[in-house]
Amino acid sequence: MFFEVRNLSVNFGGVRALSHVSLDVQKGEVHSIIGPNGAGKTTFFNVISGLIKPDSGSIIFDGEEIGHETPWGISCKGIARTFQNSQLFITMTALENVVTGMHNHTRSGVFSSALAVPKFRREEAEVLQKAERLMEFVGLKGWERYPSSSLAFGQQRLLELARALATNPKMILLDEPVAGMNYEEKQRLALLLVKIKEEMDITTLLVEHDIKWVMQVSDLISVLDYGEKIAEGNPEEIRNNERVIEAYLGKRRTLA
Amino acid sequence: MKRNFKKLPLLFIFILFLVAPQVLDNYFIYLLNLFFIACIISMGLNILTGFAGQVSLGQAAFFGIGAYISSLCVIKLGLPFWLSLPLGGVMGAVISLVIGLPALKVSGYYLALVTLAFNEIVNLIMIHWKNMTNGTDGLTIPSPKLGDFVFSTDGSKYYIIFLLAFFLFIAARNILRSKTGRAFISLKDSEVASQCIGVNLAKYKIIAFMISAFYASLAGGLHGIALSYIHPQDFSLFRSIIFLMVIVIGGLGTPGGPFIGAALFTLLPEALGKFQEYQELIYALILLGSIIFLPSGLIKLPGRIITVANRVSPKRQKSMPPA
Repeated sequence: MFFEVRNLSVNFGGVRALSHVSLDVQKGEVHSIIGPNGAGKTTFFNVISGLIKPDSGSIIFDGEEIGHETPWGISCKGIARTFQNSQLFITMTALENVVTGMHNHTRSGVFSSALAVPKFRREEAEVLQKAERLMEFVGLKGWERYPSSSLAFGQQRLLELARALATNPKMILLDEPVAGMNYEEKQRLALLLVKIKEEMDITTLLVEHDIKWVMQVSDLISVLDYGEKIAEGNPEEIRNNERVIEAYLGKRRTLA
Repeated sequence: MKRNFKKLPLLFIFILFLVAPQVLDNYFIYLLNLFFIACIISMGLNILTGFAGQVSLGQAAFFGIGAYISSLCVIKLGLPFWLSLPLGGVMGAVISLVIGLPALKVSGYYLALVTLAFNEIVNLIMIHWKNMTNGTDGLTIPSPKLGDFVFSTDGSKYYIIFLLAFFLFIAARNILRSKTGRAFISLKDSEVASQCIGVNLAKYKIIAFMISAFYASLAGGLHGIALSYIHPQDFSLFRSIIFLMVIVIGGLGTPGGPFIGAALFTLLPEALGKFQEYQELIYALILLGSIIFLPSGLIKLPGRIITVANRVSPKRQKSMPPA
C-alpha cells in the first residue's frame, strides 16, 4: 500500500480527537475525507504532516513509518500540504512563495550564496524558471511579481497549491481547497486535480466540506465523525450510507 | 543590459564613499567609521530580527567578544590584525552556536531571555577578568600594520572599515536572495507553513543567529581599531537594547532600514553633546514615536507621506493588477 494509516489515535487532554482511525490510499488516487465540523479532519492532516504527534497508531508512507518524523522530514519524504486558513508567506511576492517551496531542491549553502558563486546563480535561474512554470500550471500567470497578500482569496489557495507542488511531492494534502471559491473556480480546481494526478503522478488526499464537489472529484471517500471513521467507499456508496446520513442530518426519530 | 543598469547606483555609492575621505575632515571620517561599524551590526541583527523574526538582546556581547578577542590576539599573542579580526568573528559565531542551540530548539522568546543573561555575563567577565581584559581601565589597541604601512589615521582605517562593511553588505544581500534568506523570511511569516515545505526551523534560526553574531563580532574588531581603545561599558546590555531599537526605528526587515538605524545610532550621541545622560530618554521617545506613527520604520517615511498626501487629495488612482 502506498499510504497506510493504522489505528491512529490523538488525545487533546481528555478529548479524543481521533480514535483508531485507519485509512488506505492507493497511488494515484484522489481520496477525500469528509465529516461534520469537529470530526477531526484537520487534526488528521496535522498528524500526517507531523505538526501533531499521534498518541498511538502508525502512519506508513511509501513503505516507511513516518509517525514520529518532524514536519520538514515528512516534507522531504514527499508529502506536501495546503492549509485551511491561508498560510502564505505574506511579505513575499507570489513567485517567491513558490520558489521558497523548492527549499529542499536547492543546494547552495550560506557561503556560496553570500559570495554569489556561478553555481549559485545558475541554480537560482533554474529555480525561478521552474516556479514560473508552476504558477502557469495552476493558472496564476501574470501574478508572479505581486505581493502574495494582494491576491484574491481563491487565487491565494491556488498559490498555496503551487507552493506545495514546488516541494516535488508524491502526495499532497489539501485542507478545504475550495472554501471561498465560486463555481467557476471550483470547476477549474477539479480539472487541475485531474492534471495533477495524470501529468504529475501525484496522489491527492483532501478534506472538504463541499460535498457536491467532493463527489465529483473523488475516487474514494472516507467519513469521519467524532474522531472515528464511520464509512468508506466510492461517492455512490457514501451517498447512500445510512450512518453518513445520520452523522450529517441526525437520527430519524419516531414520535412516541 | 538590464542587470548592469541595476548595479549602477550601487557602484556610484561605492565610488562616492571611496573618495569621501579625500574631501572630508577628520571628524567626519571618524564618524563615518563609527557609522559603518554600526551598519555591520545592524545588518546582522536585521537578518536575525527583521527577516528571521528572532529577537536577540545580546548583540553588544558579541560586539565585545569580537573586540576583545581580536585585540587580545594582537596584544598577547602577537598575531597580525588581519588574522585576529576574522578570528574574533569566527569565535563570536561559535559562541552564538553554543548558546543558540538550546535556546532556538524551542519556539518563543527564549532567545531574547538567554541573550539578555548572556550579555550580562560577558560584560561581567570583561570587567572582572582584570589580568586579561584590564577591567574597567580598558584596553589600548595598537594600529594595524600592512608591511611597513601603519593604519594610524582615521582616513587609513576608513578604508579597512568601509571595504569590509561594503563586502558584508553585498554578502548579506546575496544571502537574503538565496535559499537561506527565503527560509528566514518563511519562518517569520508562517512557522507552520515553513516547516511543512521542508524548512528545518531550528537549523535556520541558528544560522540566522550565527550570521548576526559573526557580523557583530567583526564590527567589534573594527570598533577596537577605530577608537584604539575599548572599555567594558561599550558592550553593556543597554547597548544591545539600543541596537535592537535602532533597527526597529530604521525599518525592520527592509534592506535599507539598518543604515538609517545606524546613522541614528552614530549621530544621536554626537548631536546630544553635553546632554549625553538623556540619551536613553531620547531613544525611548523616538522609539515610541516611530512605533505609533511609523510602525514600519523611518525607511517608509517617504511612502507614508505619499499615502497621507493621497488621502488629502485622492485624485490619482492606483494601477490595477491584471485580471
